[in-house]
Amino acid sequence: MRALCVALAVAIAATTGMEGAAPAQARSSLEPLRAIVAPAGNDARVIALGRRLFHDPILSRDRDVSCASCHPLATGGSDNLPRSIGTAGAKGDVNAPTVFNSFLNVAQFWDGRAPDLPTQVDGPLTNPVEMAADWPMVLTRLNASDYRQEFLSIFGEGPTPALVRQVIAAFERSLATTGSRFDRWLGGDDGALTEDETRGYALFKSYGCASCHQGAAVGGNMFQKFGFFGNPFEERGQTLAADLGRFNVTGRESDRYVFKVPSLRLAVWTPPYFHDGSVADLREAIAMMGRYQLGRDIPPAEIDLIVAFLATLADPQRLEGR
Amino acid sequence: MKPPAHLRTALMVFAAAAVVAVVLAVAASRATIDAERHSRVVAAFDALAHTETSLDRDLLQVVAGLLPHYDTTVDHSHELRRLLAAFEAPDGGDLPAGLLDEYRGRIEAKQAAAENVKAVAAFVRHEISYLPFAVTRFAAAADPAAALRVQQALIAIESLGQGDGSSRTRAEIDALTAGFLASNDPELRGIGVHMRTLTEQQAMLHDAIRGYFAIASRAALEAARTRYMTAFAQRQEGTTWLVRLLQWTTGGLFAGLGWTISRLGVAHDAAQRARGQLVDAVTSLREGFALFDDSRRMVLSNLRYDRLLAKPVPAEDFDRMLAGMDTQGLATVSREPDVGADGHSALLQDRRDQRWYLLRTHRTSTGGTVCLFTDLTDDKRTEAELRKLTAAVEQSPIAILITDADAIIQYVNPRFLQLTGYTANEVIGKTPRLLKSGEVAQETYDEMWRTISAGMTWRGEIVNRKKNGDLFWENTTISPVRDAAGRISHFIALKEDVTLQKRNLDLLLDANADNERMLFAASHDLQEPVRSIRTYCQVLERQLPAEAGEEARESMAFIAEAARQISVQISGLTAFSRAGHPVAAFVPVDCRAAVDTAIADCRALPGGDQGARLAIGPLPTVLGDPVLLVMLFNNLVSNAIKFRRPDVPPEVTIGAERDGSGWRIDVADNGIGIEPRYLKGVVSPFSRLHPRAVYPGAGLGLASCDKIAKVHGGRMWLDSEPGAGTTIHVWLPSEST
Repeated sequence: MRALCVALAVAIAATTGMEGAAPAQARSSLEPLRAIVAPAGNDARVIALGRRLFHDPILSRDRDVSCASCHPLATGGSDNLPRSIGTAGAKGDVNAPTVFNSFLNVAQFWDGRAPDLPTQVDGPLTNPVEMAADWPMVLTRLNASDYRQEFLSIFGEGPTPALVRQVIAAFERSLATTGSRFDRWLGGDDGALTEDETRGYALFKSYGCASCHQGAAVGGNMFQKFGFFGNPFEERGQTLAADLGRFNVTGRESDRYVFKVPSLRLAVWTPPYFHDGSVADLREAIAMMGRYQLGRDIPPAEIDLIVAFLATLADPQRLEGR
Repeated sequence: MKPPAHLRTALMVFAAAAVVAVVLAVAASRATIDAERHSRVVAAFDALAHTETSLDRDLLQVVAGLLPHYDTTVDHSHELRRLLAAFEAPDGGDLPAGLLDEYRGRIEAKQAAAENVKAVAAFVRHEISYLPFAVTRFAAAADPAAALRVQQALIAIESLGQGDGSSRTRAEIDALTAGFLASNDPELRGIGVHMRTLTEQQAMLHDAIRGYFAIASRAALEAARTRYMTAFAQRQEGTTWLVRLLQWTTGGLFAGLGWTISRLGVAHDAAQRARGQLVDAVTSLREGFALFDDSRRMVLSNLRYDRLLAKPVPAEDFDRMLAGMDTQGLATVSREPDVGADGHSALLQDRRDQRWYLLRTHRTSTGGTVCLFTDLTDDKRTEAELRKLTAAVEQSPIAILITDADAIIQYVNPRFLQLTGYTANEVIGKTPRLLKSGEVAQETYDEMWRTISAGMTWRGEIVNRKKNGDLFWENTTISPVRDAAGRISHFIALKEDVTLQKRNLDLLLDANADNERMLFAASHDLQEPVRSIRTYCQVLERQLPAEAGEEARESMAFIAEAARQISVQISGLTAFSRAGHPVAAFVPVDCRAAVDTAIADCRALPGGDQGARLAIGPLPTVLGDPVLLVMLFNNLVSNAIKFRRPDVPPEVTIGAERDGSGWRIDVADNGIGIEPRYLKGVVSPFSRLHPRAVYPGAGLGLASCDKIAKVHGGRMWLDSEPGAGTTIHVWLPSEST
């Protein structure tokens, strides 16, 4: 009953345009969105080594792609291609998600098949259409290079798969997009957002977007079925293996078409959208979300407001690599 | 060098104790590691339970719509995964792997269920937030009846599942929703879709959360935990026993070690004491002493050594040692013969004080070296003294013979050999009886032996026989020599050959006797013709005619006077010769009586009185010849009166005094005195200081007195002052001696 009352109050407030008096300092803990806090406790030397490995094609079979090939930091941690190009020009199956804030994800990959960042490293490394490498090869290369000395000086031992995973994950953990305008607004800085942006946030919540896209990463912390009110794949006319989503991981029928809810922090800068990169326009993606996930058509004017709100979730000037 | 037995025991006990202590330390550290690991595992179990509880709570809040975002559930999920991964650490040997796998599986199921709850709850949340919004908008535009129906339906959906009895059933709500879905109004139809979705999703959420809590992960965790705790407790007990056993062993071993160490301490003290005694002994040595061990390091030395060598000279090769000592002032004088293979010696002299040292080195049984300096300076000095003495003895003009206590001859000097004509080989080992002549009475030998056996010196003259049979007189002195214990060890005989002296003395005595006889005969035989001359001179004087010239009378008087003079002279000579010969054995003689007789005789002589005054004190009785003593006093008194000063009446004082073992009799006058330079010569026979005409006499008076004094064992001497008087002293032994 209490949940209902709160929901009603929020709905009424949103409808009447009365947002209610926002607290002068930090916004209520009842806000579904939270500011990003950089994780603490990482050794700067480890992060530096991870950054070097992240940008080094030594990890790919043909020494032609690095992690940063598909996740260029300067463009928001993703390559803005529907599906990335791996070693020897191979095309990937899914759209490359951003590496920023990936540490906040409940699991890695669209289907969540890697429970954490270190485990995720093995994916692209060994994927034949991505880096197409294997650990013995990678370790041989690392041991033959000056990486060996760096690993020795930091860990007292040469590179091992576990250490390489740990080092890259440590670097990725450092990729937190802190200090956005929205986060400042959440912190009590009313002037950080414009009126439109504030309204966009209110719409984001009242349409129910924030039911799934919540938390610090504005998503990423849960799985959800894609296509609730209608099936977008059937409407598209074909269903690919990747479209089955988490079903491919768990084999549970209930996980068919279930994907990790993506973080929206960098959504404005990382088109195209969805797991297959099939939608290039953010407005269209928002409209699709409203249709298939919320069972509603969101007016274009409100979509604009929502886009305006989404643009406040990260500060591109502050991204690493820029 | 092997360590002593108790030291080896101590070392072994110590080694054992150390080993056990190390094992104990390892066990203890393992126990510590175990304890740390255990606490980590327990903490992980607790953290798992706690995190799971947090996840449960979050999901309840999600279902209740109280959790606006899922970040915390993600945190909890990651935490659960991390904690479970920690259990897969390689040292998790005693963890119940099967039960943990069971738990891990349930947690994964639970997380999947949680994701399901989160997804469903998101829809419910979305619909719950959207439906009132849609309903409100619809109600604002629709007719009141329809609006009411929609609002009632919304409330019914919201209260579904509250179980308060007043609520409608799911079927009623579905019927209502179906009515909306069938409506022509698309807006109402949309509300119907969302309402149906909400009811369906609510039911799914209900099932999902039930499914979530149906997973018995807590039971699995508890089972794993219990299993682990039991295993740990068992292992802990085993470890405890092991540690306790090790502790007892260690304690015992250390007690043993302590006991051994205390024994070692005792042994060490004993060794210290022994060393102290050794050092004391070495210090008190008269020799310089140093001991070196087998690696040529000095173990100990005494002060004398240190004084000699300020810097210890290592005991290496003997020649190098000597060279080393030479640099410190000890010059090598000569190498002495080696003693065996390992004993060396050398004679050294200290350049600093010229003292002599005998250096000897010996190898010890343990391979070390003993170095000894013996101060030979005193020996050298003694040797020189001895050489001097030996030379004296060897070159002595007195024959020397040394025997042992049994009178076996051990030494004779060259003079002895020269005297007796024997060679050394012939007398050494024999007794002095070899020299016996057979002409000495046995009593003499007996007396000699009695004397020297009693430890006294015997002197005597005996006749011995030379090798060639000649006899000789020897003056022998035999002295016993005593050893340190006072026993007689040797006799030393000093023999002086007195054969020649003896012969000379005999000759002298014979000559003397001849003299006396001649003198006596002369004095008697001459007196007779002189008396005849005088007698016939008187006869001639009477017969001489009166008319004979004065010249003849005068000549006659000369002859008579000369004859008288000859007579006086002869009388003096007779008296003098008699003075050396006591007429009979000595008898006690009263000196006073002798003096009185002498004075009477003097007065009887012509011109003998001259008015002299005589003062006679008490006089002793002495042992002597009465006639000679009267002659003595007669001469003294007559001299005293005779040598008077012309202008002074003579005074004579006779006194006596005890002097030593005899008497001194003084006869003093007030006469002319004697010049000091004549005092000695005046007693010689025929000496006279004055012309016979002034002081008549034979010049034999004092000589006779002197002789008489000597015959009595006494002596005579004079004091005089010219012009004042003379005192003649005669010392005579007293009667008792």
